[in-house]
Order: sequence, then structure tokens, then C-alpha cells
Amino acid sequence: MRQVLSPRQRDRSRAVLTVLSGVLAAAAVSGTGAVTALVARQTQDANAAKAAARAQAAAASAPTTDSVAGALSGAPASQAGSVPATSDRPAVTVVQRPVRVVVDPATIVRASAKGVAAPGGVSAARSSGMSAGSAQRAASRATSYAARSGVSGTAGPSTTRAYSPPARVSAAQRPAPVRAAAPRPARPAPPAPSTGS
Amino acid sequence: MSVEPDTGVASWRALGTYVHLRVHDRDRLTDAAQLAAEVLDEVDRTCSRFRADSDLSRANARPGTRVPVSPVLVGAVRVAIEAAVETDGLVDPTLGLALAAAGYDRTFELVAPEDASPSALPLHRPSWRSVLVDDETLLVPPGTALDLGATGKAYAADLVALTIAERLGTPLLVSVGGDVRAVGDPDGPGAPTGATPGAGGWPVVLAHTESDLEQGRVLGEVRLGEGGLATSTVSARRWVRGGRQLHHLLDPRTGAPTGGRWSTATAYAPACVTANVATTAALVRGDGALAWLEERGIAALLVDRQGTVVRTAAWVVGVTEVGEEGAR
Repeated sequence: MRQVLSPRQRDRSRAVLTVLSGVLAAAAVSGTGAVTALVARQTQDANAAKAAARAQAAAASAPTTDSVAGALSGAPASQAGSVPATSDRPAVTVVQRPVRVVVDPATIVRASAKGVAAPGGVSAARSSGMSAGSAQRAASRATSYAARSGVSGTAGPSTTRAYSPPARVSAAQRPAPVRAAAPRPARPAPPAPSTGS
Repeated sequence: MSVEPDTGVASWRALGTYVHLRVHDRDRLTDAAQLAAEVLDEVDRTCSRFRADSDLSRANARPGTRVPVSPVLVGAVRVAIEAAVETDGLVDPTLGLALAAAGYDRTFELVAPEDASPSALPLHRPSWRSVLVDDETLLVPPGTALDLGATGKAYAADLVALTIAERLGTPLLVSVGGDVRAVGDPDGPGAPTGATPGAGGWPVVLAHTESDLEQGRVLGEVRLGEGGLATSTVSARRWVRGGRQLHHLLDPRTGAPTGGRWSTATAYAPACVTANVATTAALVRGDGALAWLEERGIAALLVDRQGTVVRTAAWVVGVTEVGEEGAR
């Protein structure tokens, strides 16, 4: 049978086909990649749009939360920290919780059977029979607590942040309690419950 | 919060349980209730395992690191470690991960009562002796998390009582989820002191659980003098995981819920946390609990799983149960 193409022509054709296939394959890959990238970008944009919408919705509801926080903490709503939303960051609202420090740091509670529970710091601890060591520890704790109140960065190298206790609330600063004006006929108090819980 | 000046009693819920406050000077009831609520809020803010913003959660989240914490948490951890020392580790503050693995990983009201997925109770954890606490910082050893549930409410009851007595100067009794602390006499400073519970004293009703109490199923009533009374039980805070009944009181030796002889224990001691350590240790110890309590002269009342009530000698001598006053 007569050959249509000579071996040389056939080799040249193969080479051309190979080149064309390569070009087509590369084009297909790059085209697919481009399409994929396009879809990804569109998805990203859609997600960002959704996130922005969510952030706007959250930001819209934030003032209510802030006003509650402000009312509870006694601070105006503007003092409750609020970070505005951006396209890549949701709204963050820092809610101030009411914080009061009422426990005297020198109050001692002991778990041992011979232990002492003494209110009022060192002098009360001594008068109630607390050991000198315990009283001294109470004193040092009270002193160190007072010394570091409001001071940050005094802890050791492995710490991340120093404990900054909230401002102590004196009895005078506390909101005046609402006193019930009901008459008080003598009525026996119910027994206190002691159950497992 | 319910405040009843005519009885001198206020009640509300805090720390995931009930609070009952009674003061002698009824004019101080509102002030006392407000102060108590603030103390309990401070304890919750610093010592709760279920609040991500608490000092305890911050320390648990950074094991192996000294974390600055509140003096209230420092005190709570010291009490917990002292409890472990007193009980040879039967009252152990390092069961946080074990409790979480058992499903108790949130405030109990939110724990699913039944879940088909099995729990994975960890068998090994670092010793409570590895917990480091000083006046300002707390280090939780890697591989564990602190849970102060065993002693926390009793510690809170002591703090509430001592704070009110110091600030307001009125005799009072407070019960935080059944952990009771009384300061002074209910009849006032001039009345005979109730150092030996007996005539007079603060009336306290005992029950296995709050639910039992609401349904009138009580174990009895006692008169409490100065000091603390605590009740622990395996009948409360129960849930099911993977078909297995679990409860909140774990045996540190096994990491599993304690399954000993006793169902409920009540003890009377100078401080509430002392009484609570005794009751918790008794339930975990099981068969050896009675001898352990007797050796230490602790006034305790134990109820076994069949409902049989057993009293230690110190309880019989030192605690008056309502209904037996005439026999004395």
C-alpha cells in the first residue's frame, strides 16, 4: 500500500500534533485555572458580602447591648468598647459586666479540722486564735494585694498579664438598697435547707 | 431574689444552686442579701469552671504557666489543696478534665441528662501536689484542669458569712446549695451561744437533694450553733452517658463516679468547708468512712444506699436533732 506520508513528514506531523496538544492542554489547564480562580474569587466576594451583611446586622443590634452594659456598669454606653465592622472583620462588641470586689483579701477560710475561719484580717485573726504564721500570711497577702492594686506588669516572666482587681466598692459607694416598707409581724423563719447539690 | 423582712430570710439562686440567708437583725436583711449576692458573684467571677472569663478558666487554659489571679481564687485553691492534704487526696481539685470528659463540661443546668455517646474517663493525670499557688498567681499542671466544685460552695458560704458578720455585725446563717455557715446565735448576741448545738440554735432541715426537700422527703432537722454544716450526696447532679449512670462526685483513685456504700453524708464542723471536706471524703472513702470520721472526732450523719442512717459518736453527743430535745 502506498504511504500517504513519508516517515519524515509523519514525524513532522507528530511533532506538530504534540506541540498543538501541549498548547491545547496548557490552554485548557490555564483556562480551567482561570475559571476556578474566577469562581473562587466570586465565592470569596459573596462570602465577604455575607460577612459584611452579618457584621452590619450585628452592629445594628450592638447599641442595645451596649446600653444594657452601660446601665449595668453605671457607665455610659459610649464607654462600652465597640469595634466597627469591616468587610473582613465582624463587629466586636465588648460588654462591660458589673464588677464589684467585696471580699476582704485578708479573710481566712481553712479546710482542716482544726482550722480557723476569721473575718477582719490580722487583728481579728489573732484574737480568734489564729496561729502567728497564718496571721502573718494574712497580713502579707493583704499588703501585697493592696500594693499591687491597679498596678500591672509585676508578675513573673511566664505570666501574660498581671491581675488588676476592680476598684473596691465601699459601703458608701454601693447603691442604696431598696428597703421593704412592709410591717413586720413576728413570724418564725423557716429552717435553712442543707441538701446535697 | 426573695427578701422577707418579717422572717429575716432572703433566698435566691447563685453558683448554679439555691441560696438561703437568714439574719438576726431583720433591719439588716436587705443589706446582708445584697452583700451576700456580691460575694457570690465575686466567687463565680473568679472560681467558676464554666465561665471562660473567670480567673480559674484563664489558669486552666494556660497549664504550666503562672497566671495572676484574684485573692479569692488563691484562697479557694489553698482550701482545695488543704482538703487534699487532709484526706490523702480523696478530695482532689484536679478532676476538671475527668469531669469534662464525663460530660460535666458546662453549668449543670445545661448538661444533657442523657447522651448515647460514651464518656471517656481519663485514668491518669498529674497529682494535686503539682498545683502551685502563691499570694498572686496560680499554676495548673499540664495534663489537668482544676475543678473547685468539691469545696467551692462551702468556701463561698464561709466567705459570705464572714463578710456579712464583719461588715454588718449581725448574727446570720447562710446556706449555699446546702453548705451552711452560721455566725453568732439566731436569738442575738445576748443569747446563750450555740457553740454546742442544742437548745435554740439555727434550725436546719436535712434532705438528700433539693428535689427531695421540695417533695417533703426530709432526713431530719437539727439545731445548728456557730460553725458549718455540709451535706454531700451522690443522688444529685446525675446524668447518663453511653448508657452509664454518672454523677458529679468522682473517686480520684479511679476517675469514675464514686460507687461506695454511702448515698448521703452530713457533717458539722467549725467551718463549712471543713464539714464539706469530711462529707465528700466520706462518700468517696465508702466502707472505711465511718472509722475515718470517728478517728477524727467529726460529727457526721451518714445514709447508706438502702436508707439506713448511721451517726458518729460526735454527732450523737454534739448535735441535737429536732424531736429529740425532750430526751436530753
